Amino acid sequence: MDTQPLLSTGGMICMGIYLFSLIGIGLAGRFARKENTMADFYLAGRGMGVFVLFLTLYATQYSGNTLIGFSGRAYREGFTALVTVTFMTAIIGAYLIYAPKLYRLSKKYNFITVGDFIQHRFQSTTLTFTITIIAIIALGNYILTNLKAIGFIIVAATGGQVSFAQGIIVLSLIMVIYETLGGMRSVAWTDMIQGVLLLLGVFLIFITIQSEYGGLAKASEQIQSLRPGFWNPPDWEGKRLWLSTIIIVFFGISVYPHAIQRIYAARDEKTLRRSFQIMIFMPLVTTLFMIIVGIVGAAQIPGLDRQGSEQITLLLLNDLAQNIPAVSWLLVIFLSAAVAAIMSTVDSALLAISSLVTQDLYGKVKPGSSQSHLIKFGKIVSWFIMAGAVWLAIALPQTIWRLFEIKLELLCQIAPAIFLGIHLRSLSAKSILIGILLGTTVTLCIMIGSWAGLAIDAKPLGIHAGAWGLVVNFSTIGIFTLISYYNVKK
Amino acid sequence: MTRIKLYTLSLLILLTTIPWFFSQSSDLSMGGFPAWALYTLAGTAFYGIIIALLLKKYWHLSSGEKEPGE
Repeated sequence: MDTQPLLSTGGMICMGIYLFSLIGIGLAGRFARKENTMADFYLAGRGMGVFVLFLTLYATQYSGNTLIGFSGRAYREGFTALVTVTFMTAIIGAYLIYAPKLYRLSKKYNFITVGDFIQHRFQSTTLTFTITIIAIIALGNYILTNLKAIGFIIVAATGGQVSFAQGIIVLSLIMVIYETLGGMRSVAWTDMIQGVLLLLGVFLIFITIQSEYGGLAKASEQIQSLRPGFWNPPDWEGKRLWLSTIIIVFFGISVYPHAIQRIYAARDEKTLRRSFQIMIFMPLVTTLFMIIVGIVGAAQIPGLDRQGSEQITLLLLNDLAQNIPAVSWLLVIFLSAAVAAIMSTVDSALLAISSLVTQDLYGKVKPGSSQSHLIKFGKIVSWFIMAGAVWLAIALPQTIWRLFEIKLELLCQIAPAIFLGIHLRSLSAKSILIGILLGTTVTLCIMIGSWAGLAIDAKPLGIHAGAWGLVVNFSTIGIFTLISYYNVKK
Repeated sequence: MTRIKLYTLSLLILLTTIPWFFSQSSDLSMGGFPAWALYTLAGTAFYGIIIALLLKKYWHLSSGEKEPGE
């Protein structure tokens, strides 16, 4: 269905030039290759400096959800959406626990993937395979939902002149081309541009909306009569949910395999530490800004449903563009930033899946393979995975999409293996494996039971299914460790 | 400082960012934020500063650099 395009022809041309220029950056990454090794392809030769590392971490961790989802949530829920600022900050707090040691070990033992650490630490192929498969499912899910979002943005930007399927296919092709050309180097360099664009987009939109609509203080006055509930602090169930959300994100996002690859890719400890020290303040100038935009939106354009609230930033910009023509350029920046945010997340997840399949699955089945053979295999994997993801994103009926909501809840089940495994030498592979299996089973039972209409709450006692899974997971590990401790003592 | 104290401290500060002690809505606000939201934001900023400092000062402790063998 064709509607009025959000972008003018000039805007569409600018966006097209930007998107196709990413292939040029991929090519530059290919020419900058120093050696034909897995470390060079998947970790950019372990030589990332502060600037590149920070921007690639930033662009990877802040996806399209930052620009679209967070402001939509603030529009619907008000100030309780500030939990997003806290949890994006908490991710860096999680790195304090495991990243310094993991980085040191990765340098010493040449880790490429999260599976390399698991295999080194627990010497269990079954555990490595289990964690790798959970990570691949979670990342695949991440790619799928982001590809679908990119399709909707392209349709809105072009008013349907580029269809949903065409948008997904063209952008996926661009991503897979630059990713397979130069691996992590190309991905990190494109992330740099995408990170700057994202930061610039958020900043300009925030400033414009603040100055044109009179800022948060004025919006809050209007909100007090329009949505008085926004002013209420969360009740006890809300506070439990707040805590549960922080737990899920703390353990889930911090173990993203593509984030762990960036830890391995740092040039030295100082570089990694400084990147984290900058990253920890980014929620205050990214997430918070988008939350304020959402709240201003609730005051200016009240009465939107859930789907409408997800477009609140676009609606505000469109509203402003009616009176101030210069604001239409902000629409170009916003849409480019949204596409950039999604692409930088998808390309990183794709590279991570490619490395997991190549290093942790194929590399274990064919241990004698040469580095160049593995890289070639990894590139083929990238193309196949992207092709599959594109097909699923276009073909899957809407009713099945609920299954793909499982992402962080699943991924956080591998966190004990990393958080505890890195510090506690007495932990056995068996205890971690059984903990993961039980935790994942509990999580899936709650989620699927709730969807299937059984008498199970999706968030029992206001706590996420994944957090209940984590409780079972950690408890299982604790019980097994105690049993083995007493057995040894006997 | 031991590693367990370091991690416990960081987790405790994170827990205090949740507006546990606010149960009633009040007219008190600053810059458009209600008091409880401002508390959460200030707590998050404080948590960020503390983690940045801990990363600088205790990186080597967390990396287990002085542990014998791996």
